[in-house]
Amino acid sequence: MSIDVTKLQATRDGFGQAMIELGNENPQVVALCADLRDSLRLADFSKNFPDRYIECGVAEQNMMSVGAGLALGGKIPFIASFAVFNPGRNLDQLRVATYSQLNIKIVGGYAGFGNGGDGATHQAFEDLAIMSALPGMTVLAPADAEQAKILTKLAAKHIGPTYLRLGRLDLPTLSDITEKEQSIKIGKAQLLREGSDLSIFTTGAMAFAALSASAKLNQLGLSVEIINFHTLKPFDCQAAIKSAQKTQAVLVAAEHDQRSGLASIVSQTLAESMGDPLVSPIAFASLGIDNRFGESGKNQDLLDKFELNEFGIIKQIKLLLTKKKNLI
Amino acid sequence: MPATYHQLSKAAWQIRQDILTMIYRAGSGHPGGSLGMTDVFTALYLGKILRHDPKRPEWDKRDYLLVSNGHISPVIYATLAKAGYFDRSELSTFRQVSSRFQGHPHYVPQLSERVPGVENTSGPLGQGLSQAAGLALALRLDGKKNLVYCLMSDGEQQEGQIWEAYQFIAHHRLNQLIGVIDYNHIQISGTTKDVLDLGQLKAKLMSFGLRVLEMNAHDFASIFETFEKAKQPNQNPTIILAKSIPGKGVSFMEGDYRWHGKVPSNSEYNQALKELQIKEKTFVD
Repeated sequence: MSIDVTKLQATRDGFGQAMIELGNENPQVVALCADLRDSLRLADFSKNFPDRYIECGVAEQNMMSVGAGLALGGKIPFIASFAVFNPGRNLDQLRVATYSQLNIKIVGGYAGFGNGGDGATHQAFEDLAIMSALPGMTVLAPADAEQAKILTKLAAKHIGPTYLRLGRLDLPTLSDITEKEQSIKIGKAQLLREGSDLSIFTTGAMAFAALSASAKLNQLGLSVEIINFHTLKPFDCQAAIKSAQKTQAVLVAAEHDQRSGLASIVSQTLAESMGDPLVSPIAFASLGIDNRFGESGKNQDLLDKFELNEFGIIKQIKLLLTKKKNLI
Repeated sequence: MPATYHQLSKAAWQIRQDILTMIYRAGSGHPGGSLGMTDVFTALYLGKILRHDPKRPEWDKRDYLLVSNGHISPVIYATLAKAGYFDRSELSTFRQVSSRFQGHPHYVPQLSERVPGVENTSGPLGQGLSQAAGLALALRLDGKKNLVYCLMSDGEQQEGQIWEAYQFIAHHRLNQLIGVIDYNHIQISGTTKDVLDLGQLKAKLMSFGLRVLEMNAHDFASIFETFEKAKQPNQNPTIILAKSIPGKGVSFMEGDYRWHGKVPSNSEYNQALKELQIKEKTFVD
């Protein structure tokens, strides 16, 4: 397996590419942004479709409701800014639009440590929790640029409010690493590695840390299953339960608050599956941000400090396997 | 007053009775702004200032009226019923469990839960003008000429989002948009001056690059004349300051902020109804 570093891309890049294609394919697609056109990779869209790029200025609340109005008028608005502001600053506006189940697409950029240097005020670790709590919201968190491109296009086809969580870190594509093409469907989990000793459930870029950790763990004789949940809502409960029952040990890894988002969705799904005579108890652990805000630093340095990396995953897995032993 | 104004006036007094009955039966709701905006709603829907057809709520040639201050839902529902959008008897379900007549109007995907004529979800203040701006943009992108009206309260001018929206509609020259502010100088806990002074509202709006018109919200001649002017093509979007009396028509409610969101007692309700019935019969304005 070799990775061409010149081809590294962030999920935001895949989003920008998809928007150009969507602009050509569907005249109803419009983009709104709050003075972050370049960061959100909408510069090309704005050049190609100047009438359909709506600059809102630094006014995220207005932007969300303008998006709602555009959807009332039959448009498919992609409403983009940093995740801390969008949905962080305009949640009330989003909530009203979601009540109407308007066909809006909310794009939360630089989620997690994406705004590394800018510090805690610009780093969103709560957006997946917020979005998953809204009725009828579809919540997407692509792992790589290619997935972001596919999911952006699927989001445009999907009718209803949809959140797309994007990062800034340049990464290889999953198919380069897994050497396994898989069809991406909203609501369908993606099996990256099959294994029998433990499961790692990831969302977003943590899939890469899980894949590199699994290579090390394999050398120790452990068989690791990795499932990427690019869709948090609707959640692929069956995939989670099936894998958990097979390995009886689940680690959730996400660049997000570790007690909400994917972690809480998985733990609730698994807890609700208990009680069936055919269902066995499982060991569970969660890796993420533990009840605190971020800080300034380079994106990768922060991921390392907070152990959202291969090392952090292996450390958690040691604990997880001890728990698993105690189950029996 | 021309004959049509007499008819509209009579209808408005009837609508006010429905408003009070809805709020009294529900045991909650907002009479002040609802009674204050009744003449404007009557002129818009029954006086056909709005291009609309109650038999075809989804008519693609219609003008859109988006409400930002959704707490005046009683006047919206009562006027839509009077205009023929649905049966008036349904108003008795206002604010009751399983009714489509929610405390604040909603626009939802399920057709059976929608109120015909209601174009948007509102309630949280300060959002309607931005929604209207988005709709006006969508229409402009499609080359459509439909007008978009947005009804706001003056109290909600305290919300920051409204001023984001004024910047936006002026910058994008959304001249298919006509905003109306219920300029009644009250809000839930006092006068706007006492709660958070709006200052020179007209001057502020003009400084944002908007065309500002003023009208007497209880004089049909003034209402028609002002909307006629607002419909004339203009480079910039138009905001109408609708000078109204909150609680209009009920002697003990008029001008009193305490009736912003208060329910009348049984005797207050009976007295208010009696006053409105007398006005309906004698066309007092």
